[in-house]
Amino acid sequence: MNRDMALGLIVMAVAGLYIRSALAIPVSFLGDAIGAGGVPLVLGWLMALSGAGLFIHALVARRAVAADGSPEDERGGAFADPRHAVIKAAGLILIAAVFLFALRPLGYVPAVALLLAALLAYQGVRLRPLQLLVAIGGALALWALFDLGLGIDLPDGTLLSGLF
Amino acid sequence: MTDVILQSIGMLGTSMIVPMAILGMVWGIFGGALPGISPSITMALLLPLTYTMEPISALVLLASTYVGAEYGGSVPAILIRTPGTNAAAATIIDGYEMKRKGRGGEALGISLWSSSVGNVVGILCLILFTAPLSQLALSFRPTTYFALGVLGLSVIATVSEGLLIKGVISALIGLAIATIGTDPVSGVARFTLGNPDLLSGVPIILVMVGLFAVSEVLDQVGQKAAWERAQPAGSRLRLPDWAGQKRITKASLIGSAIGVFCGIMPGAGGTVASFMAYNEARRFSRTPEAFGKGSEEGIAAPEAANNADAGVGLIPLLSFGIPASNSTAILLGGFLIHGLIPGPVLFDRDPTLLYGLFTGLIVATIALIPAAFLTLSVCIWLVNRPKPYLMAFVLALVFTGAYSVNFSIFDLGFVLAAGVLGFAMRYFGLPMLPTILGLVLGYMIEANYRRSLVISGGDHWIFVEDRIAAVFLALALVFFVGSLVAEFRQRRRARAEPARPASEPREPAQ
Repeated sequence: MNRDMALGLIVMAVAGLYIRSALAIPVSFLGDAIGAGGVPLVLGWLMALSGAGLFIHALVARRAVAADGSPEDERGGAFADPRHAVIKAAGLILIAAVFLFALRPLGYVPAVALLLAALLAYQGVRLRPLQLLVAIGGALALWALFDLGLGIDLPDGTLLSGLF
Repeated sequence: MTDVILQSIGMLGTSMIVPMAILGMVWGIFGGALPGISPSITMALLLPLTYTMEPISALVLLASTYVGAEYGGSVPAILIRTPGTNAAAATIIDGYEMKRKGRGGEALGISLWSSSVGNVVGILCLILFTAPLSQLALSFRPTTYFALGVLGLSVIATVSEGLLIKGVISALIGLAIATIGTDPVSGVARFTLGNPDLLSGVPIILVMVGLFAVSEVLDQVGQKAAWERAQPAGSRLRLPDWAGQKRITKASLIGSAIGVFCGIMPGAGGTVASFMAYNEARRFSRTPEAFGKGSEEGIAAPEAANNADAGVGLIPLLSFGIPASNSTAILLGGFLIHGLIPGPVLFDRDPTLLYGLFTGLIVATIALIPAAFLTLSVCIWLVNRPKPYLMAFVLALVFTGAYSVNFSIFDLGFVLAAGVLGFAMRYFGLPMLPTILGLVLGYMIEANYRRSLVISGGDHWIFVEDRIAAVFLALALVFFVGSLVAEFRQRRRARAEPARPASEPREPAQ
């Protein structure tokens, strides 16, 4: 299965869930002839049709390519090494998610300093004292810009409250 | 009208227009100069910061950033053969050749001069055409707005890169996300999963920031290639002298004209404009053989084109409220963040705001040349920073900016989720702009469609009775069918090509 076929299937599955949720939208006495669920239903069906269309198109194109004996065209693939790109992105998403959970308890400056250090290390930068200084200095600079400069009340942190 | 223009000029002394125009221009040059940071991302990074500003300051800041980034993109294109923006890709061809011959400073100067010419032409068109078009839009009814929304969406979906069906899927994703929240007619909650934060709908600004900026970081982290290093030597900016300006005048004007044409056409964008301008400048040049070998005209035409396109690209947004590119979608976010909806009503009610924006753009255009001289060494320093540092700071800046909109960590989750969606869209080759446009226009399309049917008692004939709406809907159909036919023909040609005998010569690559 190539990427377009997978996308077609995903779109059909999402459309199915969307249609199911649209059918569950309550009917209001204040509503019009179309109703609150009318437009979402139309969109859901259009999405399902488009997904099916893409799947069939990709299937036909794949067969045509197989008949020619030429290598398969991964249309729209913007990544030179897709597997590497997805794994690297997944790791970064995990780091960002941990940051979101750590932001309130740790407070802005420690959380952002850790985020910067983690992102540098994750991209292959060796964490020496200079890099750690960049991470801490960067977090302090951003805090100074937003909190002191723009007056935005950034999280103080519940664990280390009062420090920043 | 004269009063409003005088008022706008008066604002130069009393408001923050001048500092914001200069700040935006400088920020735009830096953002444009960084490979991988497009004008829309440069603007998206600023967007949350504009929340606390006066509307006019925020809009001038964002619009000047857009203009600055279009020039900034040419700096790495010339110095390290890596375009800072997509629209600067055509500048590489002759810009880097000139740099290789030790004329990098001259190439940068030509790019700067022709960018300024393009800016002036683009802003002149913007000032001339926005007001009359917006007057026309004042006569629009709900039926017309529905048809206009459908037309805008279908044009963007059909002209986007890749398969037509992917453009349609992308638009449907945006429209589906726009249905989350309270129903515009009955007030019923839809797809909110019981979360009160979603009753007012998905925050468009945060989705834009996530889709553009976070997905770019996710994409860049997975790329193995590092950027080339720019050498400061031979990169001292030199504006063309009088004779040099004369040599590139024709190419700059051709580029500007093509930029205006592409700016009016939704979805065409600066990249198409710059490559078209390059080809046309070569066609009308006295020395077409010099193109590709370090031609001055080969830099002037695309740079004038992408800058003229940037100015003219604001017309659909300011006249009808419909963004025609990623960058103008972010500028729309700048309006929305202050509770303003660009379009004829805003133009009629508060013309000072829009003329103030024009004034800011003029200031930014004047500031471009000194700003380019002052920022070049910083640009070279930035281009030479290792990518990991840049990406780490971009993500930290995105999260901090997003937090500052509502002081909510929940919002950061939105930004991250939008970033994941954007990355998935890149992975599957889905264009981003139709999603953004679907998200922005979803409410307008649905609300006006249903309002029209309430007026007509459920009779769809009302859309045909409104002549302008009927024309818009017919155009949408023409675009859709035309694109389908063009794609079908292209595929048939592509399939026929491998069947050619090996002896048959192919057309030379342009």
